[in-house]
Amino acid sequence: MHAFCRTMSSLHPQSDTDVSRAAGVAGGGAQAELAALTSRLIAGDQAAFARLHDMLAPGLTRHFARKLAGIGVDDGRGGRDGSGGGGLAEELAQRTWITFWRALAAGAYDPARARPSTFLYAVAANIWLRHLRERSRRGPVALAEGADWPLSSAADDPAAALECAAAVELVGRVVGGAESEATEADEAAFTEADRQLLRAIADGRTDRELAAELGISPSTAHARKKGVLGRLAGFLAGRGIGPSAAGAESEQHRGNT
Amino acid sequence: MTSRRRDNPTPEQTENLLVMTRELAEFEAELGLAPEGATRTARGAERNDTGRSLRWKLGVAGAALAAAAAVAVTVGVFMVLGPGGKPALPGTGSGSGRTALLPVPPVRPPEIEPGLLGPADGGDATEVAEQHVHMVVALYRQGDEPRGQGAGSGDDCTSCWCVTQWTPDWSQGRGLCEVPDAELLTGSMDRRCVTSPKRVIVVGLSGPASAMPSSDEHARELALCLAQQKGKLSSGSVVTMPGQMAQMASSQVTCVPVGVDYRIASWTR
Repeated sequence: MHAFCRTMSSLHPQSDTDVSRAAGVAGGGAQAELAALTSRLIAGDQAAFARLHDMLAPGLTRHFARKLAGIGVDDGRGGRDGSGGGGLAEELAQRTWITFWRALAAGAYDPARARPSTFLYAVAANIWLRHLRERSRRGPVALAEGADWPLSSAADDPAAALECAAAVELVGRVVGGAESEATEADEAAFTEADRQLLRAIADGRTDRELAAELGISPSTAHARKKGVLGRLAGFLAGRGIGPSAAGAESEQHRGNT
Repeated sequence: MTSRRRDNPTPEQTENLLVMTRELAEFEAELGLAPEGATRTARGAERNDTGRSLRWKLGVAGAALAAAAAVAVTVGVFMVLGPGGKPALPGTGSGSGRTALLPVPPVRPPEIEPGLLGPADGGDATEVAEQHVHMVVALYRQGDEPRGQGAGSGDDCTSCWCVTQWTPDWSQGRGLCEVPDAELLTGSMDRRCVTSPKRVIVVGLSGPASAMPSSDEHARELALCLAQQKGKLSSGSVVTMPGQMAQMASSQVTCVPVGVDYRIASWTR
């Protein structure tokens, strides 16, 4: 089960405090344990690897089993009952683990940029996108670099996963406001009304639903949504978060052919 | 690590990031990690039959409260009925007056797949198999790429569409046309196979199991055929308000099997 233990010797040591700080451990709990284990793992502690695997592997497999069930894929080996025993779900979970460990081994995970769980989520999201691409025979397989941003169809690209995790975490802090680990600068950039609107967008509300809640017309709701998304995009760009310009140029070129 | 020049995220990419903050909270809950510091939004469980949004919204504390309430109700029912007592619906008590005071458990009944149910009164099992089933196929197109590919039919290029297909979990016996557009859209966006689709076409199918597409590939071909025949693949024919769904009236289309109802909704940013 712990086939990746042999890579442990090549892991780069990093400080416990960095990872713990990244985890936002004010409340301790499972996130704090995860941060501590990740830190020990990076330092080459094999026992931490086993503990981390035991802690997260069943949930990770369940995560993929649920996603597979969501697209009508019966895993055939118990994936639907939530036990996490599904074959394909387990395979996707293993692919996620491999990428996660390799990123740690390569020193590609920076705890100052994202919590370990956010990084793992980003890795899993890339793996899932790649799986859907492979599954979709009619998919647009030749997307330009950066077209998938903040995800990456290069599912095993740890740098892309870390960038994605950092972006998601920053946006989470902005949207969460005082409830989250938002810095004063993050909080000041948006009003509470902005944050409420952003939360509603995150929930997938349509313009019509937003309009009904705010008591405005759908077109006004759309304009407000566009405005707050534009400001959020500017906020992210100001912090160096966004698709690479090279990717955008490549996309533009494709569009003109 | 090389430093690259960055562009501003597009509105679609920014919106996608927002959605990912919600997914992250769900992911952490799924992995048993406390959602401390995770983003929570105001959306309730009504958006999601699986209860994922409820867990996300309420967090672990809410889930614990719900569990405590369920236990309390169970204990209450046991105390009222006593060992071997027959259950009675609230408000339909048999005269004791106590059953009418039973609180209604705030939980949904377990969902049982039709295939797991035997015939109700010894009837023919094939009647159960022939019940209506639903299927949803979503077609996504990201940006304008790749233009020029496909069969050379301009924007009507079927190979430009990424397709996902699933069996919807529509509770309360709702029919194809009773599901709100927003729910169809949310379900499709949760399963998108491109990151920031600019156009989504959702094809809902409903009919006897024997008449429905028998494979993923068949379902995709049917959806593409439907969308093509209804002119949905051609960008000029999609007339929608940005961010809103447009439902087309059902009419006869040659590629739909007999007995299968369909519904097409499209969404364009």
